[in-house]
Amino acid sequence: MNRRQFLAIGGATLASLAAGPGAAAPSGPLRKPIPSSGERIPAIGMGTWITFNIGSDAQTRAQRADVLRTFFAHGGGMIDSSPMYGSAEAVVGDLLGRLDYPQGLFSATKVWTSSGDDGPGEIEQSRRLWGVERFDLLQVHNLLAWRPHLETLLAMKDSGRLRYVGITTSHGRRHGDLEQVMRDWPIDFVQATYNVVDRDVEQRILPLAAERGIAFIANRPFRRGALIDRVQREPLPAWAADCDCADWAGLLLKFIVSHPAVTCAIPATSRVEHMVENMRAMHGRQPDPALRRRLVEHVRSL
Amino acid sequence: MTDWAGYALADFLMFAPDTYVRQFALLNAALWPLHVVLYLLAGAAAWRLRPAVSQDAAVLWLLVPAWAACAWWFLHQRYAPISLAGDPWTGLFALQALLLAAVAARPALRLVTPRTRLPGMLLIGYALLVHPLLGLPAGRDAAALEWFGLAPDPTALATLGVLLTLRGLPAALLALVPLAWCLFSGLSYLAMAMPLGTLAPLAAIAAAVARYLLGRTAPATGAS
Repeated sequence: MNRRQFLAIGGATLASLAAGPGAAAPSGPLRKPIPSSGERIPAIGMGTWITFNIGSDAQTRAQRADVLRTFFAHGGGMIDSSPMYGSAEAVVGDLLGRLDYPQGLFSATKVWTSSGDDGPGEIEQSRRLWGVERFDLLQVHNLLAWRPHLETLLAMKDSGRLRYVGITTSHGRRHGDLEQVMRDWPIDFVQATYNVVDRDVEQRILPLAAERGIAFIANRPFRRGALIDRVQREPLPAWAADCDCADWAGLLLKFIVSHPAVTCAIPATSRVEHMVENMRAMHGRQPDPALRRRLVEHVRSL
Repeated sequence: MTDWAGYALADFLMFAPDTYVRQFALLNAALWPLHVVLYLLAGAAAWRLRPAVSQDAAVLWLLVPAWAACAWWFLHQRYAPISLAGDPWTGLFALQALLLAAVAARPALRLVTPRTRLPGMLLIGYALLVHPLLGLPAGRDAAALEWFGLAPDPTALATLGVLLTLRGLPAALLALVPLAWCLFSGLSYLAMAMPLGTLAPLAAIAAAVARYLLGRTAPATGAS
């Protein structure tokens, strides 16, 4: 990443990085700017893949309401879902209604259909399920039929029916196509897989996001649980205290959100105690580049 | 083009194992004591399949309610909301119910019990009584066990057992959906890291092998 790219990221991120190990912890949860608008959003969001696909079960929905309540109580904002996630959008909409649509909600979902013509209908169905007047962010899911969908989303943004436009991929796939979209289209967000093990995006996608002023959402921060299951068999290294981490979840998430070009990570969980751990990653000192490298090497050695 | 090599089996799973198991608890709570009726029908089918009894295809009528119940109450109401595969499987189970009814409605079709009757009866017994209870040692709550007639796995296995006991049926056609479901279910359970779920496809494959090895040397008479 060159100096120009680095400066494009925004003052708040630089300030949090400059704090480094041993520096005074910033006050309040970490919020990072969306480059295209300057609006700040909490650095830890919430994914809904699997965890909120629970159908109509009243008992489980009540438990997930506790998870969602905890998310907002700890400064959460972005909830990310998709029509591909089964009942997740319906569950999220139901639970947001029970919580009276907490202040700070940043609603993010996706359009996922192979036909551009079907996009508007699917988006309207998602909007009804969520019960929101308009979405904050709509993303083309996994680059499926991305040209017609991006045209739809950009037209919605122009007419004030949508605030931000994005595109997603995962598992490190189609980064070449993603780069093309990031270069050629005026998108606000890009979403891809990034964690301490899956770091392909560090080569081209994250620098390009910084250069083009595109917010970056990191999905699969725990590799759907497999990564955290693996590292939790080992003790937390003592140097994790240098970035105020008391658990592996916090350390793995801080690795992600401390990258200057990352706007937020979206871990998914179905448990209140794990949500509390996740949200703690927005507090205290963030790892500096040396500590980030140390974590990469440490996880690689496990 | 999508690079499928980047996916693991678990990446296709849309729900948590707890969520899947919970669907059976909700199903059982909502429909009890319908289980008793469906088991009585299964018992009646097994009785009609006892040795030395010349069969007609009417025995298949007894399986039709089980497939229809699986399609509607489990696959449509419970599974489809949490899985993109739910609606296609609902259609296939409904089709299987129709196929069984169509074959059962042929009064001219007379059947005899072939050499595969014994493995067939064993498979029916396994499907009705053993397979549902295997969840217990695996830690599943008794309220969430999978019972014949409402849960797809034991229903498919019992149907394969019935097909094994009879000769003169369009067996390959009638076995297609049960076999396919058992394979699909086994992969789902593998993705959920619940290896006991692979017993259903293993039993189904064993049934198919038994049919092939024993059925090919059975007397050719029977259907008329």
